[in-house]
Amino acid sequence: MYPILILLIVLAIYVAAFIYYGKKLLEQRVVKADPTKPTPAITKYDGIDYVPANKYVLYGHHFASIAGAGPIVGPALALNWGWGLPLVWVLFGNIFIGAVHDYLAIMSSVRHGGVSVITVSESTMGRKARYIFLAYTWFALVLVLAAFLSVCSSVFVGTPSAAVVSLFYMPLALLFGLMVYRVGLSVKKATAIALTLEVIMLAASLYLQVVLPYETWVVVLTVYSFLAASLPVWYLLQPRDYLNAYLLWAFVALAAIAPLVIPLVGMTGPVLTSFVASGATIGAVGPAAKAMIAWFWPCVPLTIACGALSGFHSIVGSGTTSKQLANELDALLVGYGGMLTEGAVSSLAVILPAAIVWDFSAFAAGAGLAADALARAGIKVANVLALPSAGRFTTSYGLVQALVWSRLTGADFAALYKGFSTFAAWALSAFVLTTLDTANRLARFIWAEFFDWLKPRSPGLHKVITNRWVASLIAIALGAAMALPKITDPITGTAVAAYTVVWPAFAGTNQLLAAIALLTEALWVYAILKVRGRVNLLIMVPALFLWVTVTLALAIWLIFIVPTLPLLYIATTGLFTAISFALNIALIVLFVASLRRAARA
Amino acid sequence: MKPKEALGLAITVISVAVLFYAFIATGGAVKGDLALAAAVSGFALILLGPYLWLGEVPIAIKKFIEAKTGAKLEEKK
Repeated sequence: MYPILILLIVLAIYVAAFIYYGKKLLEQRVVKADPTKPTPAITKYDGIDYVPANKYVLYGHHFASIAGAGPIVGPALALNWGWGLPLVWVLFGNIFIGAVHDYLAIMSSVRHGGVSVITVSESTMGRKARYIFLAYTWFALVLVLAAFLSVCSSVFVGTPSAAVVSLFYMPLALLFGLMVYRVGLSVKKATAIALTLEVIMLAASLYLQVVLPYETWVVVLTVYSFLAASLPVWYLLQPRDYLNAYLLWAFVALAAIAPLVIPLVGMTGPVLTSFVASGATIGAVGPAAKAMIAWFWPCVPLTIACGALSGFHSIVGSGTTSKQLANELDALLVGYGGMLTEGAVSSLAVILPAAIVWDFSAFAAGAGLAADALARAGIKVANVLALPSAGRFTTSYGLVQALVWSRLTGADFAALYKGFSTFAAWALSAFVLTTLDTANRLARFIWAEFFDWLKPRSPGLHKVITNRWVASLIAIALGAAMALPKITDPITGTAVAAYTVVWPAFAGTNQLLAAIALLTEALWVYAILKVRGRVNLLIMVPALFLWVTVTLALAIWLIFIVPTLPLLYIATTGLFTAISFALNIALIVLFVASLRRAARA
Repeated sequence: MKPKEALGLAITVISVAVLFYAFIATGGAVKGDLALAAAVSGFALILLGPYLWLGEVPIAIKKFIEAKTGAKLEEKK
């Protein structure tokens, strides 16, 4: 098997999926997108959250927001099953579940005035279910804020140049937003100016450093996230994500170019290692991390997460994205295309490079590298699996790019490897930071939707509680409160950020959110859009498949992992997993009842 | 120029000056209490200054909405 073949297969599948499954089926036969229908960005325009955006700017914003650490760290961890099965799951999950879920989340929200997909569920599953799911989603978002504040701060402490890159994006984004929206410059011209400055900025960041301790970074990022969530979306958040997306697209493009330059350097990794891997593959901690309990199915969605499908995407799609969509026809590129792009990150930039370099000495021999090349690059282990998940990614990506560019330019392999592995770390921190700022805005939206019952009873109090500054502050302050204090981990005895004891449950939470969103969308298509027959089954069957998969994966957590945890973890991670499982059961009961009602109607 | 806009302009100018100080006074590697305080406050202020200075309703979007809906948007004060 050669890299060029994988590249061609992946690209052919994505192009065919976009045209036939996305455009011809979802857009034209299911949703029947209408370019003449005014979107909420126009009908509810407020200059803050509801603001129509250029479709390419929105595509960049949406892609940068949905792509957190998941599409990189998840597939890197899934290499425990070999590289073939994770690749198949990324492609299958992307096309038939993840991209469908994201596109329908945007469109169902657009058709319901820009509200979240959870609020859309009220029309199909009832009012009580809606409030329960909203509260659950808000807590999940606060957890995301805590985790990403912590992860981003740790990355900035470890790689000060990544911090400079991220900080410089902020004034650059302001400049772009002002050029396009205030001065009226075209997106093309403003992009050209901003990208020129971006290149200068990236070069400058090699010589500049901001060295802050972990706690100070958490505070700085808290302030940033608070401002980014409260200020008008066109001013900071949307242009920052858009400009950041260029860094991420360059990162994916370089990964796609690699197989063209080294088409016949063979893959050194196994297609399949085993169908069952260690518990750590699904985020288990303690003794269960070493036990062989991670069966590829049903555990794979919990591991690969955003690389194939993620519930967080539905919150983004029906949160910030649906409020900025200027035309219904833009949703296909933004939603379906955005998810396929994220799949390309996982398949081409993480799994493929790892499959090539898997066995480091076999890779060096096959690539014709000098005997000491890997030692000079600082590679001291035998294969990819001996590295931690983020290390698997930066090492594989760095090695493949170093080989490509040393062949093209004749430059020193070890120096190139150092440069590209740093670039990979920049990309990872950019993915995390762009998700952090959007997550707080989404928490604000969910918060406001949760308190809509207060509006008719006490309009004054409702106005204060849902004020954009107040709502943003509450979520990010709670996130910071879980990211700042250190506690002693009862498993390792080391000091860890407080959120760490709840975080292992998030993999299941995220996939449960995906199940809620996809079942809601399937009902919306069936009951509201009145799409029946085989076309309907193409959405209904993946939705039910996802529900069964998530239920079994949560059951594995409850049966094999939670009982082995210390009390503190049981009271946090265990409780959260149990709540997720109970909600998942309630979800299918509500779904079946609503489906029956819709069928009778 | 309204007082809010003047304040925004002043904050923008000060934040740019503070950021230059933070990076230039330390030769590129921002370390030390004063430089760190300058860098952090500079980045926070530069996010707020232009917002107060240039206002909320973007002209380009306003024109787009008015063309799409045929309705005249109110100026935000």
